[in-house]
Amino acid sequence: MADKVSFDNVWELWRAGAIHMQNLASQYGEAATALHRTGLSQDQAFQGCTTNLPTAFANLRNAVQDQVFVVSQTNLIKSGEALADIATRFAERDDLNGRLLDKIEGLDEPGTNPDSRPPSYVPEAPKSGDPHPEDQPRPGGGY
Amino acid sequence: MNDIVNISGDHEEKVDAITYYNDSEIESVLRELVKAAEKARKDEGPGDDWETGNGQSIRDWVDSVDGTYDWIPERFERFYERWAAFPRGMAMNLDDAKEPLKSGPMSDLNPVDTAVARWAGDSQEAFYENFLSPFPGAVTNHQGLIVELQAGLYAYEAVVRSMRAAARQIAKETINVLEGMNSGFFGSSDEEAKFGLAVVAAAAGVIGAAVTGGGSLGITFAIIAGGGSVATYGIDWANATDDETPHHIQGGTVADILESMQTALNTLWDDVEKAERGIAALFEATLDEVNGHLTSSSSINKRTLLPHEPDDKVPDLTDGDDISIDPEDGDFRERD
Repeated sequence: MADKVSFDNVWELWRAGAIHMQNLASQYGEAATALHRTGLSQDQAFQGCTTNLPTAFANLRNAVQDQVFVVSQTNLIKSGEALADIATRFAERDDLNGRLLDKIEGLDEPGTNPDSRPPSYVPEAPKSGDPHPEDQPRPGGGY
Repeated sequence: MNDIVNISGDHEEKVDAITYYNDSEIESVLRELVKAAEKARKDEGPGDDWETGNGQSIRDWVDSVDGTYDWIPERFERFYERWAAFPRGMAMNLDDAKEPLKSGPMSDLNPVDTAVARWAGDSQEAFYENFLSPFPGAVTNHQGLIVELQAGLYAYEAVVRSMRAAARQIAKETINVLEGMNSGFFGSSDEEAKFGLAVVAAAAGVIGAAVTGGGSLGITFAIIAGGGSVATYGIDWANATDDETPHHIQGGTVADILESMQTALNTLWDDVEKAERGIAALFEATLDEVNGHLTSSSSINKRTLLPHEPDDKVPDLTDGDDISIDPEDGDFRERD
């Protein structure tokens, strides 16, 4: 007969999905953003090149960005949410429910270590066709 | 625990070993070449066709030779209009894409692993199978993709560097042959310069650089694999590090020697384009490999590159088994 599940374990499972996996998703936001930035310097890097090399490079780079990094971020966010959902649903079927919700709400209280909260912002992984920040109009009309 | 293997390659070190001749170093040799051609032409004399009846003295003819060969530097321009700093800069910028995916920055994987390990049940096992087990390998492969892009850029930088070196060499060898004129019989040259153009070899040397951590990727990245798995554009990359295109500059007259120089430049350009197309084909081979995994009907193949995607409802983490998460059925109980 298994022991009854402990609250600490449910809590850690919730944190794994709601915090740690979202942090992993953030890493892909950073990686995709860095990859995206290289699009700005590509013409310069292959300046004078007369073959299909720049195109072949761009095709692989864009596939990595769009089909691997962007999708990885999406899947990590969804998997993390699913894991947190598992913990929450488990708590709903048990008397742990109230304690888990109270503890989650408690994370918003002043003085709580920000690292123990779900990230307030996961940098979105840009796609290769997205505009570059450097291309965006700035307030005041300049570039 | 976190089994992400960090990948790094020696491509940058390999390309650094190729001497980079800057613009002024090349242009200084080209100025020497123009002067050498003018001198050789003057030594050669006006020839039988030259008519004195037009009022032109031999002095006038000699003076008219000056400036005749000012077109020579233009023939070399396309070989040094590209700067190594540009592909290098982009390759270094790609480090910013790789850094977030290293085992250290991805350390949030550790508490996920620990939390999930404390549970037993079908959903826990499904999460392990679908997500936790394949994910570190996928992250390693993501690093591999970045290294692949970097390695291709470094190989291209090798082309940029080596074509500058080869163009400079052609200029210097042409000077040597021009300066050797009149050393043979009847005013002809017995000088000739035999040398090899090593653009493809330079790129192959970079592509063959050692890679650390790429031994168990489950994916064949063409460049990281040393190009050995794919012969592209007629280049056997694994055996191309000694692959020099033989050439030699010769001729009995200044015109012949310069024509020979032009032939060498044309050959060099062909080698440059061949190397570029070869690198491009390696990128294409890797893209095919990536697409093959992404579109594979095998979830195992797909997860070599992508973390598991759960469906919208929780039980789908178990890949379709409608497993209850009621604690009474043991799905999320602690291990016995």
